[in-house]
Amino acid sequence: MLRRHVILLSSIAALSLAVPGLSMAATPKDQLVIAMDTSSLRGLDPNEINQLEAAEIVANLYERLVVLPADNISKPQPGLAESWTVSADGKTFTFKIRSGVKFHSGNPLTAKDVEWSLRRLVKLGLAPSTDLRQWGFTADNVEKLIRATDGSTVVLETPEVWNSNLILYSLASFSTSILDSKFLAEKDKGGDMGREFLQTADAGSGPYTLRTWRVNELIIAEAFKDYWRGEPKMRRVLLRHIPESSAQRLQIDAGDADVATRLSSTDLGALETGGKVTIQKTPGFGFYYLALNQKDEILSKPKVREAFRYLIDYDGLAGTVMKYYGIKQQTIVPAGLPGAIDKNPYKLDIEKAKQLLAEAGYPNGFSKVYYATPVTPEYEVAQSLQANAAKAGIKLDLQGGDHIGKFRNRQFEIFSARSGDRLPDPHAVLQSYATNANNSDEAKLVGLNAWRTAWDVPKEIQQMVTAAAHETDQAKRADLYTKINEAYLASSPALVTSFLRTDAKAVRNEVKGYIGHSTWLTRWDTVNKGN
Amino acid sequence: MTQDPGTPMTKSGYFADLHNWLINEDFTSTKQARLHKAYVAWLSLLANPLAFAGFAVIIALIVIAALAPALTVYDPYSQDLTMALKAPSASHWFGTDEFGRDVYTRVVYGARTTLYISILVTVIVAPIGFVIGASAGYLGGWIDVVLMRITDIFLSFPSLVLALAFSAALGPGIENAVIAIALTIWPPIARLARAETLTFRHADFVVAAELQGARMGRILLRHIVPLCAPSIIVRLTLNMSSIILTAAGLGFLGLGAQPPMAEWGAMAAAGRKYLLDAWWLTTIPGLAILVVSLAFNLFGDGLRDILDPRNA
Amino acid sequence: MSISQTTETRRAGSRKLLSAGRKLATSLAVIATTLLGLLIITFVVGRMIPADPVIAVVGDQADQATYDRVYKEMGLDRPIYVQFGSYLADIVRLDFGQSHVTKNQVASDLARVFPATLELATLATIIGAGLGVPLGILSAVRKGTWVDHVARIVGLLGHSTPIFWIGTTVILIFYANLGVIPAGGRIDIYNEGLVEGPTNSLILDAILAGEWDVFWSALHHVIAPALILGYAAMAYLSRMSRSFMLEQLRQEYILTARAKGLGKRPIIWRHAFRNIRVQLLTVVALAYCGLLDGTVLIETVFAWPGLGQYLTSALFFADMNAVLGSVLLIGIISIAINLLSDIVYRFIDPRTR
Repeated sequence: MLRRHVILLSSIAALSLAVPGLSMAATPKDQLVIAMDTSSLRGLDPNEINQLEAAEIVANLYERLVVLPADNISKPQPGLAESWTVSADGKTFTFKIRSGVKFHSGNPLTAKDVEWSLRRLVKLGLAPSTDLRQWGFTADNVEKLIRATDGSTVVLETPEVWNSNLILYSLASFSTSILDSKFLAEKDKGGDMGREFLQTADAGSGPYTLRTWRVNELIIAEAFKDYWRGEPKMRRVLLRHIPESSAQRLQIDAGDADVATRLSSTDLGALETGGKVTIQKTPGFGFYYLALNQKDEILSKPKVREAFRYLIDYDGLAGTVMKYYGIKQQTIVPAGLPGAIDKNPYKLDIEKAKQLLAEAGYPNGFSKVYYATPVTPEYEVAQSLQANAAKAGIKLDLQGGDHIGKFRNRQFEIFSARSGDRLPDPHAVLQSYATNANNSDEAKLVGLNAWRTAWDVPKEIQQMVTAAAHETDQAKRADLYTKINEAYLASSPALVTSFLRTDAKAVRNEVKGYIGHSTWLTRWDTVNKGN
Repeated sequence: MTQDPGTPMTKSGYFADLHNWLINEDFTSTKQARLHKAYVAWLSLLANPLAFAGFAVIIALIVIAALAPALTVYDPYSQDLTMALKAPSASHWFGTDEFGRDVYTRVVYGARTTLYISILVTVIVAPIGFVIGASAGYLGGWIDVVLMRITDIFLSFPSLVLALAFSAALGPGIENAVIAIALTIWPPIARLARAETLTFRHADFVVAAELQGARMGRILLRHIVPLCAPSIIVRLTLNMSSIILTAAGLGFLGLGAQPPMAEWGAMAAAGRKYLLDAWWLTTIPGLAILVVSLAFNLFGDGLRDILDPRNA
Repeated sequence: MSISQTTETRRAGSRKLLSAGRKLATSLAVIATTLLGLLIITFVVGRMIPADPVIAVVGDQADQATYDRVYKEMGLDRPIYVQFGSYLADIVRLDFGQSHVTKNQVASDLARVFPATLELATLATIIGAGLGVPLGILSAVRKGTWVDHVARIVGLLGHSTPIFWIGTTVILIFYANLGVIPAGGRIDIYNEGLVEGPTNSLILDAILAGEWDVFWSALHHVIAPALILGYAAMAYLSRMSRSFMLEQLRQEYILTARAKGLGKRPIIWRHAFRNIRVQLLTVVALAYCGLLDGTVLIETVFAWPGLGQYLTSALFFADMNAVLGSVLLIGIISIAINLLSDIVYRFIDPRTR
């Protein structure tokens, strides 16, 4: 009888061997397969989403007035707006809308759609609405300030003078995507402006339309035949939910996937050596940071804050865990932007840290609870800090988990994470890290890292940040940012930056034109596979 | 068990005397009777090589946990990023992990975590399960109905899902994992205790004790506990393996033990990120879990044959 | 109970019907209280989860006004018993609510993920029972021989192996090194979308639609996780069938049959096996329930888009409606399976009729 089992087992094994179409096939020439971790995807409404994976999808389903090219991120180019002018006082922007653009529904795209979409963003007031609200737009004034003056002209007035780049950059963000207002009027449910409908559907004019979305499994987007720039080469784009780095690596190595977006440093390293793929390191506008709550008596001592800067193993991490995930940076203006300086004076130095702790009055160290998110590479960075701190006498009780809610409400001692801003401008980072207009608990400026950390940022830094945002002269602005950068570095900040975030992707060599975008708007319509 | 349990070895001198004294059924004292029972159990354990192997592994685990610092040269927590992900070698028998820590050392220290969790869960669960089950069985009526209903509710969750939910709610951490696992382990114990209690509920000696005016607590403790003990002990031993597996599963999902604590499940989970380049990171902790959990199962199986032949 | 029934068959006729009705009412009440208890526990536990469901929706950059608005929209500002009450009211109307994470109706999510789990668990149970029962019987018949020992160790190994670990190792060897199994998921990506409905079990749907490529692809994907789960089930089932069989072989009728000179095979299969069918069925049902547990981990390892994965991620993101819906479903299934095995028990086993 046992023999019968053996036969059965081996026939099952043989069956799996004999199955046609095994995993070693290459992807078809006209389809792009992207391996992604989609577990944090929350709907696809451009006015509601707030994270990288969703942004890339939305970027291809919809279009925006302004385009920031992936290879020249700070130079605004025409998108749905054929051209624009800025008034002499810097407050009025007039956009000429491109004609002949069609939505996926077949409706023509008009200035009315632009007006409706931008107003919708502000009125819904969800997370990404900061993109417009930070310039002074509110649900009350948006009807007045953003309006279509005729079928092809949109006028946008800002309540204050801002550097015009900031406004144009904002209009290139996924959140300011243009929606099909006529089509969505049919889908309106109780005045929700199509919000429920848009969670799992699209109403855009972009090169791709959403065909299938099975949560945490698969998203299929199909090329839009009437796309105004011409039908994209890739007939279908398939986004497969593969949360595991090793699984992504195996699949891209075997040719089952064309692009892999969530790989660990070791897997990226191995793939790079393998030669079948190119590793793209797209610099982002955010940092790996360590937040020290200033409501804590010990952590609020400048010498203690300074000590932590000597407990991060910048170089060790840069060569291993962070090799593809970040670039060592201890200053605050992201490299490549105006005001950036190449200065990294700190390195791992346990003795120096001990000395600073002793000077601060804690020669025997102390214990703190340390929150971090258990994802790579954040958790590795946290564990590395934990080990170094232990050597200096600081006992960190590391607790993995979703603690962002506590961080927002100042209910933490030490927290680390990474941030990601979407404007290719120093202001985006600085606003969060270096402004905190009111440090009281009641102010609830929960969107700002500085407030969350209860850090009363030195007033001169805050003033410079505000001044720079309003400055219209680019050279003066760059000067100001250099000063801010130096001042931040010297201030023993409660938000310690260690690495500038980079987003690493592996792309198979035969795939051309897939270029990682620093503000998360990677395009699929430029992709071809050499045909 | 009345005959010689079949030890063909010839004994000599003191040991032969001891053996004969222990094996003799004409007891001269309670002490001798107890020792006799233990000795016979020991002999039957020896006669069952699989169960004995399990027993040996468990003893080894305890020894390893106790002597962890003496068995290792490295520190389980100290990191050295330049030594990260080195393959097994003479200086690092099981290689190093992503922080350059010695995997052998961490596996050895992991034995402590495993023992800590399984013993703590058992210590919590045994009395709770017994009290609930025994009082339900003893008192009967609506108390029985209510208690068994609660037990059934807990039983209708798949145990890992329940443990997962509880430890997600309590937050990560080893103590919380212990509580979460305990919450999933007690219902079967309570069921068993109730069934056992019911069989003895109307036995003469219980009724006699009641007539003498003994209180419920005393009856449970003096009469029911000794009778239930064998089957509950067997059950608890067999449970050890599922405690270990559940703890590892929680560690694998990021709950349970937190860094830098060495815990086999968490180690295996962390190693999964480096699966393709560092097979030893998941393979070795996984094997450790397998060996220990198999040992408890083998030992529990053997123990059942010895202590609780009714349910074998 | 059985004695009174046989002695008073006539008079009991009408009373029996009445008591059957009462019994039904009692068991319905039992089921309802169990489910209610399940929901209460889940609800309380769900509220304790530290993750903030509002942030899961609005993102961490959102300001306080946005946060407060969504907090209200999600109904979190009401007292917890009110929330629970309105959830119950919805459940009675068969409305499971919306998932904050997937933005779909929980019911439609469950209709999508559950068949995937069912497919996996069913296949695993078939493998487990198909291998485990004969193995158990074999080792009972050859008790004490090497066959028995090997079977016992194989069984215990199945009990002792961390299922996530064996899954990972299988992927490492059979996908990464040998390339004979796919890395995960239910189907090759190019076969996606070719078959949809009606059962949501890809294997069945593919057969119904006559899409053989899809069928092979689905089978190819399910085989590794199903074998691993099946092994765990096999371990349990072989142990149980061994002990059931041993029990039977000790019975007198077997000895009598042997004495009569009946062959070994007919004794085992025609007599002993017949008598343990019922018990076996019960344990197979229990194993099936138990597999719902195993799928939580195996679905994570094999990226299998089933109930286990759905529930796990819902827990991590404090997606209460999704958690409650999944738990309710699991509870109903395990109660249903137990009930079903009870009914079948009565049906097959004449002694309980």
